[in-house]
Amino acid sequence: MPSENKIVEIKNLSKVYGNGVEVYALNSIDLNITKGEFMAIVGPSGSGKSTLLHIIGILDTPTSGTILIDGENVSDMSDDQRATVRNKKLGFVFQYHHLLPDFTALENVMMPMFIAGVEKKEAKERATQLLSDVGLHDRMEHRPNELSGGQCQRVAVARALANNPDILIGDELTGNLDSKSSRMVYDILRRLNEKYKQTFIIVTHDDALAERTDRIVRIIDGKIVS
Amino acid sequence: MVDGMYEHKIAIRNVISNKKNTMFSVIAVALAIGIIIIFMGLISGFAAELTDSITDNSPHIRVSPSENNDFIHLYQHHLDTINGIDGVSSTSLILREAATLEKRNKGVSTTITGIVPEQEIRTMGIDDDLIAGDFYTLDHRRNSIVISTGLANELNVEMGDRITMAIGEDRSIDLEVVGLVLSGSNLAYVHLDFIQDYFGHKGKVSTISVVLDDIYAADEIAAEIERETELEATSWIEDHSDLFDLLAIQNIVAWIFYILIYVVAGFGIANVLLTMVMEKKKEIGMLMAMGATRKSIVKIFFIEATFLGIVGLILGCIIALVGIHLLGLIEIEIPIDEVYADVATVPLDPQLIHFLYAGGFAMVVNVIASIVPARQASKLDPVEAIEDDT
Ligand SMILES: Nc1ncnc2c1ncn2[C@@H]1O[C@H](COP(=O)(O)OP(=O)(O)OP(=O)(O)O)[C@@H](O)[C@H]1O
Ligand SMILES: [Mg+2]
Repeated sequence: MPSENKIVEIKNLSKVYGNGVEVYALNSIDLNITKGEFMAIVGPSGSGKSTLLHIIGILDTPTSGTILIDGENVSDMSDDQRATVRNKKLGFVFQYHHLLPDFTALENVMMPMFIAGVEKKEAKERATQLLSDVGLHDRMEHRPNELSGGQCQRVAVARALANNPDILIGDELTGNLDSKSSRMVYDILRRLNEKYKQTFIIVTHDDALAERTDRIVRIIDGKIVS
Repeated sequence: MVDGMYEHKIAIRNVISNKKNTMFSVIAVALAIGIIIIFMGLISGFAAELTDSITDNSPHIRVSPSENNDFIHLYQHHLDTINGIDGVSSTSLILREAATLEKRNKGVSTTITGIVPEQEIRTMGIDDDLIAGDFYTLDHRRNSIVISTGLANELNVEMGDRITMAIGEDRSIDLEVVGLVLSGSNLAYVHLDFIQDYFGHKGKVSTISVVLDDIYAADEIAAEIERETELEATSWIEDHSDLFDLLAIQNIVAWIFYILIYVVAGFGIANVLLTMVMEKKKEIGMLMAMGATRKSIVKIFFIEATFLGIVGLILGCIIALVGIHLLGLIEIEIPIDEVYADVATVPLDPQLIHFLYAGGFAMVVNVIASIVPARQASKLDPVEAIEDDT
């Protein structure tokens, strides 16, 4: 089995919400994601895209089925173990950046490394490198309220990559940006994916952006249709 | 700050950048601590003043005749026994008799106290308030008396005047006023030998006053005196047990008051922290997504509460010191009689232990007040927190 190339393996996974009426947010999904892949998840609103991302990101648990991240069954883990996996193997960028407002761009990028217990000097070096990668080497000491929406989102991308994760997860990460900024963020993602060979899983409504990824997964009503 | 302790970094930065929110909590703690320290100082100052005024004006132990006896007989023997007890500093003999003091058509019935001036000055410091004459004159001038200014005013007499001491209808003797003591009450002192003679009580006294090295040993030493002499010995504490009961009740009331203040302050802190949890929901969710454990989130809030508590504590101690200083400046006039008045200050006895108590309790209140907000924060579901649209 070529499973060492798979970073995410999902088998027969369902997520059911409901008190009284059951809603299948995800319905018997099978999905394998290869290391280094740049993948887009598309589909209409309410189809289950965010739910799938949250489960891959171990922020949420499936109702049934299995999910392996880097070969490990994350459903069996304790809260603290899941936190550690999120810290070391996963990076998140959401529609809104959620940067800590009282910290500079540099400190925000260093934060996941502080959580991981990385030394300050090393963390600063890596954060500086990442901020240069996203084109913000001259904005490192700025706080989020001194940066534009696109710049904040680029800081969030740098932060998501801080601990050199296996997977970067982005949920409509350009949803709040104008088309110019959002193209710029995508160009950066494309370049970083080529440079660091990490797996990028992006949910987007923007078909033009989705077209530029390696693979498009389409979800409708909780089912993968292509 | 320790490297890698990111919880500290977040907590401290959060508190410092949210001064508007956190100021309320700091002020609540500071006021609570300030008020409580001042109150503790007032109450212990009041108790100290009360103790002082009791032990200044009465002996630490009053030895009276055994039951069914009007007088202490063979007092020299008892005196030697009492003086031999460890912790007894000095003793004095007193014989009291009732009589009427008269001048022209005025008369005042009062107690005449027979003393040995040297003893009474040594034990009770009765000459402290002497404003004219001398107690020692009683030793060598026959038929002399020292009276209080209150009594002198009532009889309209001055130093050197003669007043009449009368017992019943038929006996009386003229006495010369050789000293005046500043006091509003009716006090009259004659020599012990004179009163024993005149009333026919040779070899008898009514009281032996005992002064101790340590006033708080009074109860034990009183018991020892009773064992050794078979006389009745009453300590000042026992004599004023009503007052001490009242002080104890006052203390309980004060503590209820302190607890109420702390409860109010505690709700203030909890409110500020809960507001912070609501406002920082998304950032807390994001921290969890980045791998912060629930334990770390709890830690952040405890550090914030502790930091706020310490700032409040420092401010509270400053408020207390300033308040105590200002209260110390207030002067109150206390009239002694129509002519004389004493100037007193607010009794204050600030002690280090008060600061420690107030501070220690404040930190405990802080921790308790942060339990609910910290738990609330750590129980947040990261997905809900991040996706929350409010
Ligand atoms: N916490 C929840 N409780 C109940 N139902 C939920 C919950 N979260 C999501 N759902 C439901 O699950 C389904 C999938 O939701 P999801 O957020 O994954 O959709 P989405 O594809 O991300 O949509 P959008 O493009 O609008 O973000 C929806 O029908 C939604 O109503
Ligand atoms: Mg969504």
